[in-house]
Amino acid sequence: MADVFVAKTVITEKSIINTGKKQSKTVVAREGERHIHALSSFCQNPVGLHFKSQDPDESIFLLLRPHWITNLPWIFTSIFLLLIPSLLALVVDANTFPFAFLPDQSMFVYVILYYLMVFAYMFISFIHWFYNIFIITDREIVDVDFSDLVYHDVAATNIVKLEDVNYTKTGFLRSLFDYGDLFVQTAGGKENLEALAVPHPDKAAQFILNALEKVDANN
Amino acid sequence: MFSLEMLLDPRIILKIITLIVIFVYAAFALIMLNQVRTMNRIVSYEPLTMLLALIAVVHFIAVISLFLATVVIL
Repeated sequence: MADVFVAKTVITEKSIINTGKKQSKTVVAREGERHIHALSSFCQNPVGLHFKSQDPDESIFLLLRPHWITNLPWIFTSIFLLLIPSLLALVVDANTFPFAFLPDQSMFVYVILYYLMVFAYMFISFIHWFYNIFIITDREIVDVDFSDLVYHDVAATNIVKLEDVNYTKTGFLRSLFDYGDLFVQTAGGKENLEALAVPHPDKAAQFILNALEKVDANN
Repeated sequence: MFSLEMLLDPRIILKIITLIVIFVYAAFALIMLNQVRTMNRIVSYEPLTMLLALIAVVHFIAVISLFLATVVIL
């Protein structure tokens, strides 16, 4: 009987940069087994990630986004906002409720509108975190900034134009959870890229320097 | 026909204000949807990016439904 579902075996050649040494490793992966940790803040060799200006043979080494701990303020705010109607119902007496004069249908509309707005706040906060990414490939560094709903900025620079990479990690929380700001300066200072509140900034900086060394060696 | 007394009815005023608020919110939801689609074109990270676009669409449909429900209910 003919096999209907056969996982396609793909052999890919990946060049892995690790502790300054170049290693060539053959990875055999089944197409069906390919998966990514989509919510990861520090993802090496991510599979399934593509960006607009990516060349077909360009491979992504590292994906950075803000540390998950930076999401806590909006998560706590959202929980509080979601609980407000229930808390009001418990605390405020129905007779003294300031909007008691409104008919039930009106209250239904306002409650739904309120929860939709809270949901929008949660969704925007999430995509703000999700789309603030910093991608390091074997050719370029791409910085995608999603500041707010009506503004986004995409900056990319060729990796050979890099001049300086540095990072800062200050404060109790940043030291505790090992995250900080990564800055990349290019030649002439035309395009300075920054990845804010990313995990393991020291490793990321080393990663970029290793990638640069690799490109220099290839040239 | 609409009369001046009818327009001065607090319930009608409340309904008009509510409809304006929901309309503005619908425009905001549409901007949100467009922005998610734009970002998905810049960075694709399947299947999560598709899920985000779907959530934005569902949110926009929910707001439009609420607008229509407000027209009928209030």
